Amino acid sequence: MKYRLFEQSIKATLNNAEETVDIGQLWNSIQTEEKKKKPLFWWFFTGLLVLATGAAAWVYPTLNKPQFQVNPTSLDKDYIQNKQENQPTAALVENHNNHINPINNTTNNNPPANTQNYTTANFHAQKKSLGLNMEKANSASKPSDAIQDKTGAESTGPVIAHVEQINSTEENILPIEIPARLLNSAHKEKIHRDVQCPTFRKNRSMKLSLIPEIGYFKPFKSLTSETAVPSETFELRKADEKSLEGLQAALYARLQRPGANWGISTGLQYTRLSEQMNLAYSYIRRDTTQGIISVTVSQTGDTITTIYGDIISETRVTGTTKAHYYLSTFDIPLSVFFEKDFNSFAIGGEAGVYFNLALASKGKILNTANDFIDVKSAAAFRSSIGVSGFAGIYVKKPLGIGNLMFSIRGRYNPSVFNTQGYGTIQKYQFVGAHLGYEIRF
Amino acid sequence: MELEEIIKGCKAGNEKCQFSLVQHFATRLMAVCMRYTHDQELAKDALQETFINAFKYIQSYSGKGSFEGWLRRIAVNCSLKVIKTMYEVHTLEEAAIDTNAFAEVPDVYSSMAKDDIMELLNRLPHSQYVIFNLSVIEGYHHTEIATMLNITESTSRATLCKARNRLVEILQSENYSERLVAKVGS
Repeated sequence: MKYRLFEQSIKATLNNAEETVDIGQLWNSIQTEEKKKKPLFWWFFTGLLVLATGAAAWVYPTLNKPQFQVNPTSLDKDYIQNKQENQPTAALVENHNNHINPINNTTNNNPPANTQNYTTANFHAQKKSLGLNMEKANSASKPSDAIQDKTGAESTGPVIAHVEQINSTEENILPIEIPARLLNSAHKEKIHRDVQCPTFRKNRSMKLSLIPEIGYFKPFKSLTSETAVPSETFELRKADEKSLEGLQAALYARLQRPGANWGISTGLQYTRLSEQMNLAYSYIRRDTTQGIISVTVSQTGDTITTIYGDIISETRVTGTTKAHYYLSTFDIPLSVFFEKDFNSFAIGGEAGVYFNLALASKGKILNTANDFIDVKSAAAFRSSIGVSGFAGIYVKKPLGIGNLMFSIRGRYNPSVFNTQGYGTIQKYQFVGAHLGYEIRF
Repeated sequence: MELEEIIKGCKAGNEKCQFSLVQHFATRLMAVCMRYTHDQELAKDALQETFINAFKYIQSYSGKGSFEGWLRRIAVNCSLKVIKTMYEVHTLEEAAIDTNAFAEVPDVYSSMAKDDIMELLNRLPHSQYVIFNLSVIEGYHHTEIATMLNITESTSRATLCKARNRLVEILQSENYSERLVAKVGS
């Protein structure tokens, strides 16, 4: 028979071969494996929800910010006073001399400096937020035609503008009416150049900041055996496996009440750490081959007997080798932080939960006393840690370049990275240096 | 249930059809996985991964070509993935000439049982075993094998030649054929 035919015959035999398999068990394991993958979506969804809530908390106060409208029209002082008396809502006109260069301080026809509308309720609060010093203003030359508003507060400076509320449905729209005779082109130009608009921003109930951050840390690994009698592999790993550098990139969002020392923080965080194992191995390699193991020649020399058989050769293989594996985590941390500011630096603490989206492993891990195995094949690490708590402390220092911050941070994380039943319990604590830029809103 | 119906159902994510697919192909694919992994547990892992991948990517099966062939390819890839790190195919750049295609081998080998074939193939070094299986049994081209194992085409060719040489050597040895005859006789 030709060798080609032999190949065809074994191909046919093997292609039709079947192996017994427990279908029920196989189906269950497929189902379990597929279900394991689904929670990843939910972790991701939860993370998005947390971010969306944070964003909404920031956007809501912005939407409620008052809108103002300037309406320069012809109007004289009498009209202003008449209107003032007929207004349902109190109005105040102020001239902040410290904000403008008056065109003509000797007359009452100075161009408007700053105009501001205050309702009775928020007048004092607004005054404070604008940083106005009313007493100082009153000490300046008091105009003869000062307007008394319904709150009883007296306006200072020359009356040159009027602020009115258009109607009850547009509470926050304030047209400013300026006498036309004052608005010749030169004056207009001067007004536009000199007027410094006050901040009409409403006090926010929360302040939001985004912090993109990168970090370098030292992972402190704790490796304990799941079994009472640790395996040889475990002992070797414990002795010779070293944690190398860890890298982190994150985008945090922080929500904090103005003036408060505490707040909540969330974000997306990517962490990668490396492990290195130096191994001195020694084992015996056994090779089996077939060949002539004995040749016997008869005494007369006419018969030669050749015996074929298995030839087994053993070789001791020794040497040293090095292997690495890498662990990467994708987390959504959600924490409450407390921070004490000491001007040049701040000290803080944090505690919360990690929603681990994924734990990826790559590289080679010690399999036996002599060889390594792909970390995925070994199923050494979980594909997701799930939810775990964490706590940390940090010292933060502004670097004086924009809002660039340098921080030293330590975090305690009790979660186990290994799959259950792998034989080891591997945990990490991190201490590292981080560089972040705070974008305040 | 017809195979076409099963495939259609699987594409729609029907669990009943997925189960039927598992029932239909599990034993044959298990044999493929066993052939590469040589280990019941590893083969089970590879088989499980095969079906998970099949369900995930079944939309990409266009209906052209054999569905079993498509599944077998997934099974082979999953099995190779499982064993990849355990064994390495060493790069062999030296030329090997396939001189054994027309070599004569005893007729006793024409009707070997599956277990005997496996025993014979297991005598090959692992890299030769894998490439022999991929090329001769599965019928993949060297280009495909090179991609699958991340080796060069010439390495694949040279390794296959070595495997064939080694097989012919074993088959032609009287010792082996006598042993096989004795086994068949008993």
